[in-house]
Amino acid sequence: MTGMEWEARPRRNPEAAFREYEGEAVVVLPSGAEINVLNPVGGLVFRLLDGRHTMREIVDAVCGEFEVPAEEAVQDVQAFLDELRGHRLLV
Amino acid sequence: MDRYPDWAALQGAPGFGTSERFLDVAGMTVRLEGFSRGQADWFDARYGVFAADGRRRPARWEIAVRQADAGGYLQLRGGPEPEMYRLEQEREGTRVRAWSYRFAGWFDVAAGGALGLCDGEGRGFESSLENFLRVVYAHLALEAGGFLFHAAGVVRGGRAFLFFGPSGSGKTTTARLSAGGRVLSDDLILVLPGEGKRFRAVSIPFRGHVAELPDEQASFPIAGFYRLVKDQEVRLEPLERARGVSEVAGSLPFVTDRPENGLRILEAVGGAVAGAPVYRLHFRKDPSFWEAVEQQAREARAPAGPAAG
Repeated sequence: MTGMEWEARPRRNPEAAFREYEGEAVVVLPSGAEINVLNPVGGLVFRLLDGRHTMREIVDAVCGEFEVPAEEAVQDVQAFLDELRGHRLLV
Repeated sequence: MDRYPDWAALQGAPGFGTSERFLDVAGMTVRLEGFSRGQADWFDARYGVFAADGRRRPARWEIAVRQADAGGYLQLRGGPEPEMYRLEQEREGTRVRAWSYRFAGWFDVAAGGALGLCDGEGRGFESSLENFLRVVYAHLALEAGGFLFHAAGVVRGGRAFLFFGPSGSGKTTTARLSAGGRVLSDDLILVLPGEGKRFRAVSIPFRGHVAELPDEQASFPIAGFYRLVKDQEVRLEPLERARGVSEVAGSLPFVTDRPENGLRILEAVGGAVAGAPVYRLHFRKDPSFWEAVEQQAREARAPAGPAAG
């Protein structure tokens, strides 16, 4: 579990529109060129990327909600954040 | 080379004449002034029942139609392949600017707009005016809680079946294979919230290639949204709501490139999809898809039977 900045409070791009429907989330990229569906884990993480929740709290939420081991949750969250950065969805 | 519009020059440019016309689509009435008599006559013939009497239905928005100071804006790129229609948009405050080959205009849902046309008559005038009006109504629809939808719409049994997908996916084909139905459009459909926030498909003056000009303005409950997939077999693949929203929202013209519209889009499309299912419709080039589509629609309407066990 190295490389994780546990006290960081990442924030999603406020220009990305986001809404959940029956447990799945839809995100409109700031450019509008893409509209993506997030799986339930992605939806939970995206919702918590509000600049208030720490990485530790986000990982804990994933562990608690989906009953996955902490190491797996860390890997999933890191991979998801990398993907969001690639789409300019993190500020 | 493409030419960027001179917006200040457009502001002070002369009109083609002193005629005015009103376009009413589902109660969203726009007044256009600055037409020549010939342009106004064409407008009446083109828009028929949508060409409103401004005395009876006052306009909320005004658009000044002006002679453009340029010979053109975007240039055809040439080459052997046919070019996809290009339209550029940008935003200045609440104002949306749009320009294409032979027009440049701006529109603000709070303040109306202006349109500079390079051509005073013929195909250049007609297509430029209509393409600008499509942009205008895409934004007005979003403001009204609905959306302009890149889709073919066919009414059967009093309900609208909306077939959508990118250019070349088969919208015009499905419209042509819809004998016995009323084709609203094979290109653009207006979807607006009606009573009880139930969304309806609304007839519009922008018709595509297949639809006739309607003799009345009408709206219809939506039976379903069908994302077209060309295939050798016919089948319907139901989509979960989020996936359905994503697919439908991806077919909204002119408004998805503005971040501030994102939430409105998700709200409107989410509302529409809550009341009508979304499917991927695998179809081949014959009318057989209608059997599958109508059977599904009948089953969706039938009251649920007693639970087994």
